[in-house]
Amino acid sequence: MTKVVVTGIGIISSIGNNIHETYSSLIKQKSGIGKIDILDTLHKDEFLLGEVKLSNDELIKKAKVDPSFPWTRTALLGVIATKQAIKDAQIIPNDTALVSASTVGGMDRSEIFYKDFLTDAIHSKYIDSHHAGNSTEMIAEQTGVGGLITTISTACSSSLNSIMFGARLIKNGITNSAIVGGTDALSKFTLNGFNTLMILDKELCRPFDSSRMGLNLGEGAAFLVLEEKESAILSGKHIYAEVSGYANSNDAHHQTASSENGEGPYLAMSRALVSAKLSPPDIDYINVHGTGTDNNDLTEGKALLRLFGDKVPLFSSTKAFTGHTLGAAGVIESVISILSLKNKTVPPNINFSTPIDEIGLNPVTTIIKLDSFNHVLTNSFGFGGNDSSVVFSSFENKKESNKSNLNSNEAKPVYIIGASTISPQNTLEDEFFLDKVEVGNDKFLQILKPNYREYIAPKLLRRMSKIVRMGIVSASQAMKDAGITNPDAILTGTGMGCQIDTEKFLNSMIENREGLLTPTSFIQSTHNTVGGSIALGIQNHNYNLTYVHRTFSFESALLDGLLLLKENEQRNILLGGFDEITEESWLIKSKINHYKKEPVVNSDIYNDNQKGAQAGEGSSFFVLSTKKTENVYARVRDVYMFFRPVGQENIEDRISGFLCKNSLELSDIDLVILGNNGDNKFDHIYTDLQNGLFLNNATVRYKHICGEYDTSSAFAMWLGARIIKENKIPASILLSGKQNEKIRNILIYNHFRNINHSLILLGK
Amino acid sequence: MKDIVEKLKVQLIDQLNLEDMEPEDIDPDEPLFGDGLGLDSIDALELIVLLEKEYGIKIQNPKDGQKIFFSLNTMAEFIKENQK
Repeated sequence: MTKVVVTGIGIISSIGNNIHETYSSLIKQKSGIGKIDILDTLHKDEFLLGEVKLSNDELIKKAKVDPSFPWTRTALLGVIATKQAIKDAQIIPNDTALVSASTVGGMDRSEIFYKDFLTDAIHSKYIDSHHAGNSTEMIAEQTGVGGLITTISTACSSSLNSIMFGARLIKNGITNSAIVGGTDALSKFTLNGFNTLMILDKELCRPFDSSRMGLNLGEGAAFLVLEEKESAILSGKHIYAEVSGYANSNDAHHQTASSENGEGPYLAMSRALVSAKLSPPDIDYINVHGTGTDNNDLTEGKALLRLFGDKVPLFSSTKAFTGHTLGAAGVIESVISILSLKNKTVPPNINFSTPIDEIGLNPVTTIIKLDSFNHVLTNSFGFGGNDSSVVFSSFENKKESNKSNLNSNEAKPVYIIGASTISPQNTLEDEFFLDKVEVGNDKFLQILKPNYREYIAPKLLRRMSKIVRMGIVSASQAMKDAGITNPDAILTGTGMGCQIDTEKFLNSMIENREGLLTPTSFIQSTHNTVGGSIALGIQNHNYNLTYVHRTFSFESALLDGLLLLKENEQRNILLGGFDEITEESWLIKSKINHYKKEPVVNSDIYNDNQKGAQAGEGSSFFVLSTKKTENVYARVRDVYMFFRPVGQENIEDRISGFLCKNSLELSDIDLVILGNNGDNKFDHIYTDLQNGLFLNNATVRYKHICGEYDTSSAFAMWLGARIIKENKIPASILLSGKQNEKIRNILIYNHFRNINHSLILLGK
Repeated sequence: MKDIVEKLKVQLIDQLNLEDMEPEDIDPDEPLFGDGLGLDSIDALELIVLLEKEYGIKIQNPKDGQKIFFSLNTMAEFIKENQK
């Protein structure tokens, strides 16, 4: 019965640069929202923000980091909060995991330099700081985190989901400790985006008040150190609270608005209580999402009434203190909840005077001291209907009857029972298995466009960009292949997310000088758009997470899926990885030699002398199940990610260790699928393995058929699964070595520029 | 009025990416939202920007949109009354 406790806290937001300042502001009822001083926007005098009142240079000093690095504000806030948390917990994080969260990642720099990226690229060092996982990697490098690292992006619920995933990693024995949280800096992109939705209040926000007119945005970062309870006690750690329950649900109603009766919020809260083995009267205080928008507060209130009846616990929104900090909101409010629990003090919902007619709920408006305070619930809800709740319980008052059977489960075999992929090849056709490869001389490889109208209603199609279309079609084909209609969870991974929509909004914001912007591309630029749209389409209210950590994105989603199936909560899981290529994103990344500058024939990429890889795109979906069906492709035995290994020997050690953990030897591996992408600066790592560790193994390459993209390992998994199912290696994928008669075990190895390395093990 | 309605049809199809529709498919009395053309709250926000961009009319409260955007005719009426 593993339990997870909080042993360290770090926080920076508009109400304080550390935990003490934060608590002091809450007690003094001092809001951090005010006039705009830091963000360089044309709306400076129009809106109020919850800014951290330090310039980037001041943040660099505060974080004690090398100023020559390509710092984004998001990463700086994250480093400051993480360093505090590590110091507070007194850990040396060399095998600690880091699960972070962010909505727009390095947008605070990209939006300033975007046109330069496309032309002279004087500021090219910031190009690779854009992706949502960048701040996580900067944090890991600055703090010496050596365990698993990943990043979640599910809009405004992101960092509650990273707390949940970190706790599950510990419960499942993947790690003993995890640093979890999120970071988001203010950007013109988000300010203008929320402005197009007309949900920004120009005055101070008034959550749960009948006169509320919208939200105020804020920025910040917070991180918690989570540890396994017994080892935390043994090492004499100060324990803040126990992470006693959590849940994520999908509202499946609308891209941005909550359903009338708050279905998603209701399910998130009630499932979190079930997970904590608590009932509604056990909750002493709720830190609500309470953004101050018309829609959120009304529907969240309705969900509270549905769950708690006429006994709604004390509740308050603290967003009138901090502003809505988006990807950091969940963890910032978790810190406030934990401080509240620890001090038996409930923070007030400031700026409230009159309850909302339809619900008549009164939040706490003054500081309340409680004699007994055992359990606090906190909510975060995001675009794409992504709703999460987490329960923290006081450590002294834990109910010992709370037996969790999580880690007592034997790991059951996990099968791929459905698969579908859209790629630059004709792979959507069922019978076709790469008999013939499309060869072309292009800058990048684009998907063979399906006739989307056969799959998606025109009314829905009109707003969807390429990535959403290909995601939805490959997801529905995978489910059809598996013979299921509604999975128990939807897990997605994308390195760059919805690039077309992001570029569209960014370009028009720059060109129109922050005026006359429309909401559609902003809404769809969120990373969880595909996962949310799938849920919406099939009315799926279950667990729905999106991982956005470069070439760890798909692997993280896969790991989450394997854990869910092990935890016995789910039976069928829809899992996908997807990325899209655009002219602009290709141009930008070719400037930093990630992509080749001149067209190349894809069948020749491995002999091409230009720097970089040939870019590609695609979407691959799978149905994973613990129940074997007639349509079974293969077993997914394990997945492993490692960050910045030191030298080739270390890579070989990691691979050997991974096989050993799975009780396999190299001779048991019938085929190795290698991720060579034609970038001769880094492909030698694969070649050295072929001449070393894999000397006696058959190997194949695949990126000449799909191109290089962050989630191309999902395509490799599709390839491996079909090879095992059909016991056939298509001639088109360049076999070296001798093919074994029977293909039972396949190892997939990919790395991105020797930074992010991953292994996926398939079996028969 | 009729001119505004005809112009609006084209602008609507363009702004909302109604790929399958021709101007003559839209009945100016038909409700734009719900059972009619089937537009939603995101489209309403797009239409607010359309009014500002094409006709110089600013709507401050998105709730006002419900009445104004009931149909193409109500929209044209509103434009006629508010255009300077």
